[in-house]
Amino acid sequence: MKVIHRSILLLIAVLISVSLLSGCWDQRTLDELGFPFLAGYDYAREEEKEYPDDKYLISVGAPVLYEEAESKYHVERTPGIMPSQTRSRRDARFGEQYILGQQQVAIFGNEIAGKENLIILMDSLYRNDKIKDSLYLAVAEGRAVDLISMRVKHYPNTSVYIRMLLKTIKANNFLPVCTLFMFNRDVFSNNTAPMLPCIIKKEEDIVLAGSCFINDGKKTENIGRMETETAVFLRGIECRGVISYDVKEDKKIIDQETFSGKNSRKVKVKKEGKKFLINIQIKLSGVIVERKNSQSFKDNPDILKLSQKSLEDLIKNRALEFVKKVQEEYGFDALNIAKEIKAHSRERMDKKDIDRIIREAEINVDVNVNIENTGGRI
Amino acid sequence: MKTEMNYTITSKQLIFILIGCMLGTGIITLPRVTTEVLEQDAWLAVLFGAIIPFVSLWLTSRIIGKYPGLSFIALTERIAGKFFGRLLAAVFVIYSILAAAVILRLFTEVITIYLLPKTPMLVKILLGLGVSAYMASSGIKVLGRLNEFLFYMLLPLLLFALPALFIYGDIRYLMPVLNHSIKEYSKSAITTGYVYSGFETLIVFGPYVIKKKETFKASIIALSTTTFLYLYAVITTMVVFGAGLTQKITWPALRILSVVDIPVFERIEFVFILAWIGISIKPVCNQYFCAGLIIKDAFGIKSLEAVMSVLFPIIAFIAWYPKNIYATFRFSDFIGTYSLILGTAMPLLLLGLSSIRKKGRVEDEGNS
Repeated sequence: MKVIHRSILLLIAVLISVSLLSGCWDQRTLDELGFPFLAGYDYAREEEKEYPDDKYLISVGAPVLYEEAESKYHVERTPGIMPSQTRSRRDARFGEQYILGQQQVAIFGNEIAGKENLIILMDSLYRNDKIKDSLYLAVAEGRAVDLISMRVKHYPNTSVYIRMLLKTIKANNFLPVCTLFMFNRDVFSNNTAPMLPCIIKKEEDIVLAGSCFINDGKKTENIGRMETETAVFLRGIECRGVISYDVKEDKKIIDQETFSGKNSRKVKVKKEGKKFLINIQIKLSGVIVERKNSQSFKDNPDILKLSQKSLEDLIKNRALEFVKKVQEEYGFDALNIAKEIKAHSRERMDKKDIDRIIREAEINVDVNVNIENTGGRI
Repeated sequence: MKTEMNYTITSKQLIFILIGCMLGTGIITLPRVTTEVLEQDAWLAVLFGAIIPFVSLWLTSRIIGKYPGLSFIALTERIAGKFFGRLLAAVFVIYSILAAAVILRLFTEVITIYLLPKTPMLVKILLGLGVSAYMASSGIKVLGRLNEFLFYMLLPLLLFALPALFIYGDIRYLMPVLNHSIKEYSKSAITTGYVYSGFETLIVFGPYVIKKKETFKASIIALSTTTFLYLYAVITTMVVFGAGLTQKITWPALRILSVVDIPVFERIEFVFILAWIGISIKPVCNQYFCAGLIIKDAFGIKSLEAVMSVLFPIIAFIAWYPKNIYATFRFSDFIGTYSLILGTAMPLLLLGLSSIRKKGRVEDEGNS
């Protein structure tokens, strides 16, 4: 009896499985799919709208996988009332069905990033579990669609190039990278302003030219490359990069050197009465890769100390200037120290509290440069 | 109605069965549930949540120790009498059926979001339950081995979170420690206690352990292992996401796998889910088995498979019934409360009744 029961049960289980799986609802044929790598967010212009209520223009850059196709890269521009609506409209006029799992980069046009709340605009990205949290985010100087539509030399398509640019930038430059995860962590856990890289169109190239902060979902003015480097040091975004500077002795330039190395940051938070005392220590360690003076470091060890001191002074001055700008102009946490403040305080704080603390705190910056070696030449 | 010897399990198998009952879908939602109550102290909620299950396991072990060799139904009938004993068993059966259904539904919700969005819910439920039915009908010994095997499958999955932990982990997200009121910690003990639901099945599985003296020790090892795994999930998620973001994510312990690009695997969360399917179906099998076994013993039915077949459409319907994910979460919270009440009240009641009966018996013997 028992054996019969088991056999019947097994048979029923197999029959149900086979019958249900044979017409699998979720089956997909690879030929029917498109893989967008890059998405751009802009406001739709009048001539781009399909319906009067359309507000956004979502442009998608995807590789074309057909060998006979004229172009290997296709940009699909779709207007919609909300960003997600464009997905179905896009599928209605494009052969393949776009799947979002391989999307690598999202670029926001300058206008939309300045006027629209990006936290709300990106809701469709974060709500969709198919979209990965390691999706790179950036802001374009003009419209995102113009940037996405550009043809980049030496690359099969623009999306591959921009992704590569954002992925490797931290390895060679003191420039920030921001992913969907980092953005959300800054907004929801740190109560701080995320820092996004800015991409610009320069003649026939696409280049990273600086950055901007996203405060309360809206973009601030772009900051240039030098200020971005300082902000990267102050925020503790660990990168590897190169800095050229003058070596000074008693305010006289005695040499010019290029330092190549990595940065890190330590923050100490103290509270005296109602005032917060914040000390940011920027650490740089690396090598001298180039210098104009041929005098040996070995013969005169003071030059090495002088090199370190000159670089420390340069970065400290820039950092203090930037801190002043943050406290007086921005008035929000562009230094990403809210996490430290919250960790060292028993009070429960929201973003308003953090912004107030940043404005009123006494923020000091120390810079510590360690030149580990001077390359192949003594 | 004593336990039959072909139904025995080792204390080691009991450990894995209990872990299998407690550890399921809860592990991927737990970081959100705990941070909602205690924010950066969420990991403490995991420890506080283990208090009620600990007390329950201790009480249950005492009951089982007092009446060795009696199955759950025989034990309740011996202590509470035939009518009330069966009533208590019915309460447990209802719990097991509801628990199997809600765990199955939660499991299906995850599958819907990550793997099979277009496949109808009922189809996924039937497929999941079909597998569970087959495993549960194989008997307690097979269930023990299966739980052990699937537990070892879980261990490598834990390593998947390490890249995110090493790249983005920040211990300051756990600071400041002990920054909440006693009231909030007490609330967290109950809220988090829900995720340990499944511990109450000791009263069903315990009598089948060969070495009765090892029952309590085995149950505590199971509880400690589950607590450790929950701690790992909560701390890992917390130090990567921080309390604020963790509260915004439906399945935070899964989402952590998508923050880092891992070469070759690319989307590691899908690899995780494929392996996780086996792990999260365990509690369904175990609860399904509990319900089936109690009914079989209560009515003296010889075939466990026949009971399982009758229970199949009932569980499938209950799992299918919630209209959306929020209704499922409310249902899950209800089952969590049911589990905590059942897990503590039932052994307490049985212990109390057992003492009264013993006292009465001693007095009767004294009078005669």
